[in-house]
Order: sequence, then C-alpha cells, then structure tokens
Amino acid sequence: MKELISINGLCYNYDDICALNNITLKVVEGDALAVIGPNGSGKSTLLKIINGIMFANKGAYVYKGKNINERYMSDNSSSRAFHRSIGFVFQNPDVQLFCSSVYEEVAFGPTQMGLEDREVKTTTENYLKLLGVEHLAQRVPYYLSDGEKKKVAIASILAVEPEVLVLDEPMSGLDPKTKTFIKELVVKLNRAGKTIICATHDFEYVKGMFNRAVVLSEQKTIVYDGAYERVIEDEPFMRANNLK
Amino acid sequence: MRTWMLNDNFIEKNILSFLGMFSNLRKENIDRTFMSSINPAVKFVSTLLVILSVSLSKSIYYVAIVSGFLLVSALSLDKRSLKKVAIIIAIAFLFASFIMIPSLFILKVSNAVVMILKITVSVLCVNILIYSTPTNQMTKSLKALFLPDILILIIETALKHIVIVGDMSVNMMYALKKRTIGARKKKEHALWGILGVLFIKSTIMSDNMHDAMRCRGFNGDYKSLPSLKLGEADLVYILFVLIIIFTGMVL
Repeated sequence: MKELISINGLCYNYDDICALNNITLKVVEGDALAVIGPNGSGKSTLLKIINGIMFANKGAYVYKGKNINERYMSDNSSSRAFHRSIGFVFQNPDVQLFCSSVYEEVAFGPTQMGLEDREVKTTTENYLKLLGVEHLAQRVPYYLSDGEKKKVAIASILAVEPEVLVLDEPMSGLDPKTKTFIKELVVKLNRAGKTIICATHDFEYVKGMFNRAVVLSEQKTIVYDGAYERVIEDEPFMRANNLK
Repeated sequence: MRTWMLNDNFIEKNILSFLGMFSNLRKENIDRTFMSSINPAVKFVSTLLVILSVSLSKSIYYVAIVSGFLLVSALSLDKRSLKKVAIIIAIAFLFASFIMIPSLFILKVSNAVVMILKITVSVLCVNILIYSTPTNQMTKSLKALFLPDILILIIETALKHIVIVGDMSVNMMYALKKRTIGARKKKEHALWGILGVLFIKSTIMSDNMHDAMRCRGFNGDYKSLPSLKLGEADLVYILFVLIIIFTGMVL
C-alpha cells in the first residue's frame, strides 16, 4: 500500500499551551483510521494540521512525498492541489456552510477548482443525490436541521473528489438515523478506495467503520496505534484514558 | 449606565426586535406567483429604473400610470404578502401625507400630491421586490449591477453571521435569565459578558469559516455560478417596464 501521510515528531503549541506533543503517525492508502481521545487531547488540532490549515511548531508533516508547511501552502497551485486531494468535514457544519443555497454550497469546491460549468453541474447533482439532499438544493444551508447540514457539508467536500476524507466528530449532535446513514456512507467510501481519517467519541455507532485506531492521551501524545476492535474491547485501557 | 437600560425585559425586547427586523432573511420559500417567477436580477434592475423614472418625472399622470402597473403587480403576490405590503403602503402614505402638510401652505396642492404619490409608489415598488424574492436570490441579483462576486459573497456571509450570532445572543439571554434568581445588582457585568463571548465566538466562527473555504480551494478569488437564465415571464415583465419608462420620457 502507498504511504500517503507521514508525520514525524510533530509538536504544536497554542501560545504556551501544548496541544500536540511528539506525534508520529503514518497513514497508507485505503486506511480507515479512527482518532480517539478525551476532550482537549488535540484531535481537532491534529486533523487541522493534516489538512494544512495549521502548521507544526516542531517536526515534519509529509503528504505524498511533499513537505506540508507554510511555504508550500503559500503557493496557490500547490495549495489547491493539496486541498483537492484531502477533504475536511468540520465538526460544526455552520462554519462550513457559507453559500446562499445548498446547490451553490456543493458547487463551490468544483467551481473553485476550475472545473467547466457542465462538469460542475454534473458533479454537484451527483453528490446531492448520493447524500440524499437533492430536494434541499434551493434551501438556505444555515436554516437546515443539524443532520441535513452535516449531509450537505459532507456532499460539499466529496464534490471536490478528494482521495483522503478527514472528518471531525461527524456523529456529534445527530439523530440515530443520520448517524447510521453517515456510518454506512463512510464504509462505502472506504470500500471504494478513499482513505478515511475520523475523530470520534461515538463508539456505539462507528462499529465496523475503522480498521485502525490512534489514541491520543491527555498528555497530547499517541498512546496506542493499532487495530480498532482491539482497543475498543480493552476496557481497562479505555478507562485509564477517560474514553469509557 | 441608566438602570432602565439594564432591565432584562428591555434588553430582551431590543434583541428580539432587532432580530425581527432581520426576520425577512429567513424567508426561503415564496409561493409560486407571476412576480416570484421573474428572474430576481430582472426585478432588481426594473425596481431601480422604475423608482428613478418616477423620481425624475413631474407628471401626475405618469405617477398614476406607474401606480396602476405596480398595483397590478402587487395583486399577483400571495395573500399573506399582499396583506403585509398593504399595511406598509398605508403607513408610507400616511407618513408622506403628514410630512407634506406644511408644503400645502407653501406649494401648490398638486405638487404635494405628486410628492406623496412618488413616495408611496417607491415604497410599493421596493416591497413588491422584497416580498416576491427570497433573500438568497436577492443577494445574487446584485450581480446584475456588475458587483464583484467576492463582494456578493461577503454580503451573503455577513447575512449568515447576523442570523447565527443573533440566535446565539437570544439563547445566551435566555440562559442568563434562567440562572438569575432574585435581583442582580451588577447587571451590566452580565451584559458585557454576553457581548464579549459573542465577539469571541463570532471571531472563532469567521476564522473557521475561512479555513473551511481554503479547504475547498478558496484563495481570495471567488468565482460564482453563472446567473439565472431569462424565461418568457421575464421577457413580458421587461417589455412592460420598458413601456413604463418610455411613457415617463414622453410625459
């Protein structure tokens, strides 16, 4: 399997507060990786660094052989190619949905990526259909229910057709039906070849979704990197890390 | 700060009435009528042209013709909107009549009547546009004025933030009210607290939104989708508006 992400000795500080400490992680193509950890363990920060939104204070982040840093991302074409390859679904869909209609929201990515108008239309319609939100196409995104917002946010990211899909707690605040829908969708996407990286707390609904887990501790370091099912069944370890 | 200004009901009432002003932003679905089927950009430009031609005209007959055209247009609105427009027009008419009272003693009566009609017609024209166009399409219609796409995006995100931060402020007011038992001596502390938290939250939200935009390929240049196409109803409406404007030039 081809190595996509390689993180080595990565540290990140918010002023004087350490958010990530000496993180080393590798992600290969087709991985379905769960990032688990108690609140404040640095999951969201790690996902933002993986998405090139934030940059490490120390250590290296290499994506497909390219060193991802401020200099690399300041170049428009490199930044565009990187963001096309890796998509990020934010925890709060309200920050992700900013267009005046659901249709435009999903079309935003393909339009910015410079696709032809006809291609933008086909892609947008396909992803609205895939997420079952085609009937919401003309609605204003920020007036939708939380479940609908999340589906639109996922559709808007998938419309860019990234190889890696990063999700930050995609199940939070959703009803059981939407959680099941998202779980099944992520499993399907992974089977179709997409690499999944997902921060989660919702162990009940993500069964069968991941093949690997990384556990972050309150000390902001990785304390486990291995099979997902094994760590979930290890009750003493989960309790010791405030996960159960 | 004056004590009445720190009264919970006063603050709540003000926040709610401020949000009430923006309640039209929530207007997403409009009943299918002739006016709502017209391209928003066509309606927007027509509204500006009609107001301009009415303002420049000195003929009472022309203002009467435009009033007739607008009344017919207004009749194609749905019942609820029509009722609201009728109330607004009545208020505009009464207000215009009231402020024109002194001019009756200085100017000719006909001039005052033209002025009152002009004000009422302009208000009617704007309200037909507002009540027949969803907010999201209204912002898109600004493209007809050759406004840059990025400016339209800024207006849209500003409207979004007004709605979201407005909802947040109401919820925080309710939370504060629920936790308040008995009289509070330093009410201003809680109020400043809410304002501070709202400021921080909105800053974080806008930063996150910028990150989300970057993640989808945004690098400062915004390319919006092509504008809506013109249909038969648009052409009929454009024809009527052109006749109206041409009449204004003749009279």
